[in-house]
Amino acid sequence: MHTKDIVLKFFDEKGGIPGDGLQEKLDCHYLDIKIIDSMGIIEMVTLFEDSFKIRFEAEHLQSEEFQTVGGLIELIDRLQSKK
Amino acid sequence: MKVCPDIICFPGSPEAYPDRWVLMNVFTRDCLGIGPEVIEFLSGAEISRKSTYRTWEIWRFSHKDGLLADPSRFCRDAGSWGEVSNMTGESLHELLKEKCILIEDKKKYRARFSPKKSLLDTENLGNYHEQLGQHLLTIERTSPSHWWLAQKFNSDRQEIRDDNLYGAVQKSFLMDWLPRKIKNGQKVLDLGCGPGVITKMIAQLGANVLGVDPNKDFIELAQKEPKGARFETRNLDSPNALADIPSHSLDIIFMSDALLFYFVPYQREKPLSVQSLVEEIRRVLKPSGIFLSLEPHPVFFLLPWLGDSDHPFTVVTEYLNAQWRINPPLQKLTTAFLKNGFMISDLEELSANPIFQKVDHKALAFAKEFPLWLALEFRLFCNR
Repeated sequence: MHTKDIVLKFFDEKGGIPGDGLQEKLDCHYLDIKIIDSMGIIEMVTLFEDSFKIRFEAEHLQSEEFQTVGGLIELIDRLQSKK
Repeated sequence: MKVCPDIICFPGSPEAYPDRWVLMNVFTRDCLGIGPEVIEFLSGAEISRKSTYRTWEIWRFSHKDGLLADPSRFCRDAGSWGEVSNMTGESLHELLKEKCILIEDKKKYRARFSPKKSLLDTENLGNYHEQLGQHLLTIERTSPSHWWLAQKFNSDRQEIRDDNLYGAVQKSFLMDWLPRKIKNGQKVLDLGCGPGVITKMIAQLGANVLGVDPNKDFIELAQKEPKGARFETRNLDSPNALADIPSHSLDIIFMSDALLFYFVPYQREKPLSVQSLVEEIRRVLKPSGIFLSLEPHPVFFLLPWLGDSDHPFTVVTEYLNAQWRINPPLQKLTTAFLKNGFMISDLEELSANPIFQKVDHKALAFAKEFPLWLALEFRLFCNR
C-alpha cells in the first residue's frame, strides 16, 4: 500500500476529506476542517510513525507542509527515503 | 516598528551580574537576556557609536518541569546564561521582533492572543493547556496524562511527590484538612480521582469512598493497591455518569484539580456542563452533605515568579477574561454552586509548609505569599 493510500484511508476513517478530485483532497488543510481533534493529532502522529517506521521532528510537526494532506504524504515519503 | 507596550525589564542577578537584564513580554512570555545598552536601543537614544549589543538566549519552556514548577520561562541564574551574542543593531532589531519586544502592527499582534486552532498552531498563543499540549506533542513527545502523573506523583504513583510544591502545599494541606472534614464511616465520592492517591488518603480515615475518573489508565493504576477504596471508570461528560448512585445517599463529594475543566475545557471542542454536574452533586448529597473543592487559586495560579526571593512579586495579566489561564475567576466558580442551593461554609487559601525551605527557597517564598490552591466547602441550604 502506498503512503498516499494509507494517509487517505486514515482520514476516510475520521469522516473523510471533502472534495471531488484527488488534487482537492491533497490540498486540504485537514486541521481547519476539524475532522481530528487535539487527541486525534497525537494518535495520527503515533500511527504514521509506527506504520512508516519514521520519526517526525518538532520542525516537521510545526511546518506548513505537515498541515495539508498532500504535504504530509510528501513529508512521509521524504523521511522514508532518508532511512 | 514600535516597542511593544507589554514588556517589563528587570535585573537577572543584580548582585553578581549587574549588567545582565531580562526583557519579558508578559503576555507572550517571551524572554531575552540583555546588556543595558539594549535598553538604550529601545529608548531610541543615539546608537550610532554603539557597534554591538549583548544578548543571551534565556527562554525555556519551564512548564515542562511540572504544573507547579517555576512558571517564569527563563533561565533564572544570570551566571548560567551561557554564551553571549554580540549583535549588530540590525540583527538585534530582528531578534527583538521575533521575541515580540518590537512590534510592527499592534492589531496583528493582539490577534495572536487567540485560542490555538490545533496543537500544531504556532501563530495563535492559546492558553496554558494548549501551549503545554503543543510542547509535549512536538518537543517532549510524551502523552499529557503520562506527563501529568510523573510531575505530581512518585514513580509508583502511590504518593504525591515531596520534592515540589504539590507536596509542600497540597499534600501538606490535605493531611491536615481531610481529617477535619471527613469522619469514619461516612460515604464519600471522589469525582475525577485520577490515580486515586487522595481517594486512598480518604479511605484511610475510615470513610467508605468511591473514586471515579474518565481515564481508565488512571483507574487501573488506582486499583493496583486500592487500600480500602473502590474505583470505577466513568465518563463524567455523560449526563448519566452518576445515575446509579441513589439520591441523597452521600455525606461528602470531593473534587480536586478537576472542576476547572468544567469552566475552561481541556479540549475546547468538548465543553463540559457545570450546571449538569452541580445538579447531580446536589441530587446525590444527603441534605446534611457537603461538597469539598480543592482547585487552583483563581488569582495567582501560573503567574511568573519575579523579584527578590524574600519579597517576591508577580504580574497579573488577566483575571475575568481567560486567555492564558485555565481556571475560572472566583465569582464564576462559586456562582455555579450558589445559584443551585449551596452556600459556602468554609474557605481556605493554601500556603506552603515551611519545611520546603530546604528544597526550594524561591518556590516556598512565592507559595507563602500567593496561594496556589483554594479550598472551599459548600453545604446545601435549601430544597429547591
